[in-house]
Parts: sequence; structure tokens; C-alpha cells
Amino acid sequence: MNWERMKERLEQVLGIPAQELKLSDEVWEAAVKAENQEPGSYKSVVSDGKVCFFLYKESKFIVTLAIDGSLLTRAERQLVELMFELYREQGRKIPHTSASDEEKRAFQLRDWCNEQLERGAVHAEVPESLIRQMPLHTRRVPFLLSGDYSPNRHVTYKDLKKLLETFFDEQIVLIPLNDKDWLIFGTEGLLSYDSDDKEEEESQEEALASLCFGLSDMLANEWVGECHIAVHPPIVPANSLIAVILALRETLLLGQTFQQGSHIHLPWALRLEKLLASAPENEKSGYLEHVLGGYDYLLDTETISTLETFFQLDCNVSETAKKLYIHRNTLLYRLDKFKQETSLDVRGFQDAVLVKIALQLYKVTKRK
Amino acid sequence: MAGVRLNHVVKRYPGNEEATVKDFHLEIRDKEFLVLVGASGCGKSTTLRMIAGLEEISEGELYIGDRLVNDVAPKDRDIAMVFQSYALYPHMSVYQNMAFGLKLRKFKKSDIDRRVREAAKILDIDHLLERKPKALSGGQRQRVALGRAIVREPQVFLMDEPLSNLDAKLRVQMRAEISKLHKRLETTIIYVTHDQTEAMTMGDRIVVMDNGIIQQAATPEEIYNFPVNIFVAGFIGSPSMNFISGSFSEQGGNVFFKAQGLNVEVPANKARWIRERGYVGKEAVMGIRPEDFHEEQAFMDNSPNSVVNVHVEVAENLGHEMFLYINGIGTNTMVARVDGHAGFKEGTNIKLGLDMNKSHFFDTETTVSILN
Repeated sequence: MNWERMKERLEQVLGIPAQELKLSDEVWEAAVKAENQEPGSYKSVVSDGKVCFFLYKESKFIVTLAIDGSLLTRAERQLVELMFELYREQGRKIPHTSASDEEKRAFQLRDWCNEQLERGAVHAEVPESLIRQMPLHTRRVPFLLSGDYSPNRHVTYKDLKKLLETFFDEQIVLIPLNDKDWLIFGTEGLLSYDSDDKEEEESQEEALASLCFGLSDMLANEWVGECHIAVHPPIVPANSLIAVILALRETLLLGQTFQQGSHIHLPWALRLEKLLASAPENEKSGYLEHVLGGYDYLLDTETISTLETFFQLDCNVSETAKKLYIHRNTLLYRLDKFKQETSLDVRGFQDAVLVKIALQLYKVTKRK
Repeated sequence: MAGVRLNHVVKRYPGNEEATVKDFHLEIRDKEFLVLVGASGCGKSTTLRMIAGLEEISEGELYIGDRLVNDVAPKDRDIAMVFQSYALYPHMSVYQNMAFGLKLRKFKKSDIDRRVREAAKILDIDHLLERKPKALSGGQRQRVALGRAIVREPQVFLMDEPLSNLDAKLRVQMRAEISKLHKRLETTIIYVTHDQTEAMTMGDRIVVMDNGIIQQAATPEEIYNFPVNIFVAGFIGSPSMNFISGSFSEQGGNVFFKAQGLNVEVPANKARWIRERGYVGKEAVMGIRPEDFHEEQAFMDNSPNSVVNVHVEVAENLGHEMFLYINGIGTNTMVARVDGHAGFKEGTNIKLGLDMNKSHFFDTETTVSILN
């Protein structure tokens, strides 16, 4: 479901700003109780003076749209609740009567997935009735495709499925999770495509990465534009569908947060980021303050891009200068300038590690 | 084939006050090889991505041929892209990689086969058609990516730094291949690069960009010989143009440019512009390219009012030519390109003549050329 678009439209109609806010299950339940609502109610609650409208459940959090409570009348609050309820229901409907049986089944499975996700039922097993005709009992490679396309680019289940099946040259399972997110299951056989060069066996991770890059390139050229893609090692979907959706969404979120500019997000390339994201907020800010002092306010795009490229290329000065299209001396000047400001010499391992972590945290703490 | 028209196009990202591309207004002619060049972050790739349909256009209109394509998906724009970060389809052979786009568009098998084999022959990869991408070298993969674009016979090719992942030797080779390809296919190519040598050697026309703005759009010769401002003058040319701050004065009916260690006569045709535009007695910046310094005695005898005394700090002899890093004019070290057999030594004082017919003058405040 396109909550971002809904937020924009709501802001236009009400003329007041709204923001996405995540509340823990405990905070949500406490707020429900404080307002004497029925336990398990998923409409809206008041938290810290904000009216938080329920959007969906994500793992241990409730994702809400928060609006300053003093700017909303009671009637407006009820109307917004009603609108969200109808929007969610509309989203659950099967798209159109002329859709193929296969498409209808995919949408039914989507509804089931969304219900489990809303409930936080990570280990729910898919009812047999829903996947009777879907090859989800064998090991499959899951991809999460998130299309960052504008609403005026018409996207249909049928077109995307046909395109993907032509690309993979095999039958795939496609489940539309919402307006922009698509879950794809390809066969494990996709990973054994390489038969030319027996001497240089490709690892599973390398094979998955190559497939993602190829898929991304193909979608940019032959579909509606660029997409974000997250991948996961093969699983048996019937046993772990919800868990894999959550894992893919986590990878996608981490990738979009920490790997801005990249469209391919691989879980094994985001291990450090996952660890950092789980650190408490005060620890993150404290680390930044301690390592960079006040200098983080001065971190400009050029410095960030220089340091990131330097770390990507294993602190190799010549390679970094080449990649950035600058003279080696210019790079050394930039690194020296950084050292003068922060007393951190990123050409040394210890300081490089400190700064690498600080740069990653800088992206999530948004200090600027 | 078709031209491309960008009508006052603007790209603004949410949360950024300043637009990334500002009022980009340009018509790219049918069959033209247009190069967008500029430093990192100047907006050249964003412009190309808007043409490709990978970025939405915030303001303005984009036409491919006569068709307004602002809201048309990339696949329906009749374009083909070859980007720096291209990826081949790893599970398909070279043949299948090249045929895929045509297969999707339901071309007849015989047509697909003909187009793939023709393109493979042009690119000299016809012996690799059965191989998988992993078994190819970097240069071969790049050719396959080009082949995938060629077989589609699109109205416009879009290329974003397609050679930057190749080593220097291969890059020079592929540069020539792409130029040949353009002549052979007679199609419109829009090519993005940071490399001014690529721009100068490949483009029919070059667009120099800085800070999201077109600085100059002209032929390579025009850009090199008549840069409109200091940015273009300094960006195009390697080593870069030398700049000297000074002022104009009238001496014995002639206009002279005077700076620290320099008092040279401005040729009559340039002096006329300087007088007419009221610059006599005012400050300006003179630009002189490294190759416009002359060490030949005959040149200095003929132009005694353009001779300067300089100190050679470093002399780099490349065999056929020599780069001299010289002091004594203005406040900065300058570079002069002289004959490799001139025999200049580091640490010596020498005389050089300036070809003032090739000199450039810019307004100190606006940085715009005084002469254009």
C-alpha cells in the first residue's frame, strides 16, 4: 500500500504536517488502555501529544502516521481513522474480476501475508489451501523488489510476471506485497547457471549478487525504471514465508539507509550496518560525539564521498584517487585536512575503523 | 533516429533547496554525438538519467523526436542505455544477453538472429556468442553491453561513463570504436564523461556543465579556442590554461596587459574589443594555454613585446615535448609546453614568447570572456 502517497494527500487536505512514527507494541497497548479503547484495537492512539494513526505492524513495532493532537478535531480524527480502515480494506481486495486464477491466488496470499505481518506472526506456516498450486514447498531464491516509480507509471501483475519469467526463463512465483513491493521466488537452479568455467567456481553469494545486478539492469531497461532489490539465500517458502519477508524488508531498509545510491542490497554486505542500527540512539550519538567531536557538523558531501570510496577500496590511495577522478595529491590533501580537524588518520587501521563506523552512524543520526 | 529537446528542464530533489539541474535548455540534433562533460556532481548524469526516464523531471519538458516523454517509462522511450554500472545477465549467454530486448518486443527469430550477429560482428565479439558473461574479460563485457544496446536500433543511445571501468589502453581503443560506431549507425548519441579528452575526441558538440548549469554548448574547437568563461577555459585542455591577474593600459597607441613580471602587447583585433568595452585601465584575468608559450628565437624576434623572463622550476621531458613549470609571471606557477629538444634545465632562467593572438581575457568579477 502506498502510505507515502496517502500521507502527502492527507497533509494537503488537512493543511498540517504528518510524520511516520514507529511505536513499540508496549507503547501502543499502553496508549490503547489509557484511552479506554478495546484491547487489540488498531485505529489511533495519543502518544506524546500526537495522534498516531495505525498504518501497519512491522515485527515488534506499530508503524503509525503521527499528527499534532492540538491541530485535529475529534471528528477529523474519526474521519482519518475511517479513511485508513477503508484504504486497508480496499488494498486487500482482489484487483479485478478478469484477473487470472493465478493472479487471484497471489493476491489472496498477499492478504494472508499482510495479516500475519500485522499480527507479528513471524513463524506462521502458510495454509495449504493458499499454496496448493504454487511451487513453494521446494527451496527457492527469494527477491524483494521495491519499485520507486511514480504513480502515473502503470504497473500490472501480469506484465511483471511475464517479464520476469522471460528473464529467468522459468516459472516464478510473484506475490504483490503492496503497491510498490513485490516478492519473487525463483528456483534454486538459477544459482547454477555458470558452467563455462569450472576452475573458478562462483560462491552462492557471488551468484546471487550477479543475478540481482542483472535483474536490476533488466528492470531499468525493460520495465518502469530503477528498483531496489534485496535478496536472501534459498529457503522453503511454505515454512518461512513471513520470516523471509521480514528479513528481506530489513535488508532493504538497511540498504536504503546505509547504502544510498545503490539499488542492490545484500544481507551479507550489511552485517555491520545491522549491528549499528540496533544500537540505542543515545549510544549512537555518544559515539559520534566522542569520535568526531564537533567536526561531524562540517562533514560535507565531498568529504563523505572521499572517505567512503577510500574505505571501499581498502584504504588504497592510488585506487581511490583514480575512482574519484582526482589527483593523488588532492586525495592526500583531503585526508590530511580531515586529520588536522579530527586528529584521526584514516590511513591507519585503528582510526579507519573508528571513522568507518562514525560515517555509518552519521547517516542514521542525521546530524547536520 | 531522432533529436532530443530539453525545454527549460529542472531537477530538484526533495529536501534540497538548490536544484541539481537548473534550467537546462538544449536541442540535440538528429544523428548528433553530444557529450556532456563536467566535474563530479555537476548534474551531467542526472540530466542523462532524466532523458532515460530513470529520474523524474521536476520542471520543463523533454521531447524525443516530436513526442513529449516526461511521463513515458524508459522501455517505451525508444532509447538504449549503456551505463558505467552496466550489468550483464549472468545466467544468459552473450547471444541471449543481446537478444533479450528483441525477444521481449516479439521480434521474429530470424530478425533477432540477424541483428545479434551483425552487432556482434561490428563489435568483434562474434566468436564469443555462446559464452557466459563470467567467462569474458572487462573489455569483452563492455562490448556485449554495447551490443545489447545496438541490436535495439533505438532512436537515441544514452551512455554514462561507459568506459570508466576499463584500463587506460582499452579505454583509448573503445573510444575510437564508439566513434566509428556512431558514424556507421548514424544515430543520436548522448554521452556523459568527466574526461575532457573523451569529450574533445568523440563529440560533435560538447556541453560543459558546472553546478547544474550549462556553461557552454559548442563544437570541441569552439570550446577550446573560444571558452566563454574561466571555468570552461580551465576545465578543457590538459595541462590546464594558465591564468594571470593584471590590468590593461594604453601605451603608445597600443593596448598592453600588465601583471607581475609581465607587460605584453595585446594584438589589435583583441585591443579593439577591450577599448570598445571600456576595459582599458581596468583589471582583468589573462588566460594562456601551455602550448602558446614559444621558445623559438625566430618567434621572439618577431614578437618582442610578448617576451617574458621566467625561472624553470621543474622540467618534464616526454621526448617529443617538454612541460616546463615556470615562475616569474603573476603569483602562480605556470605550465609551458615546448619542444622536447629545447634542452631547458631545471633551475635556469630563460626567455619565452607568448602567442598573444591565442590569449584569452576574462572579466575579474563575472569571470566571463571579454572577447566573445
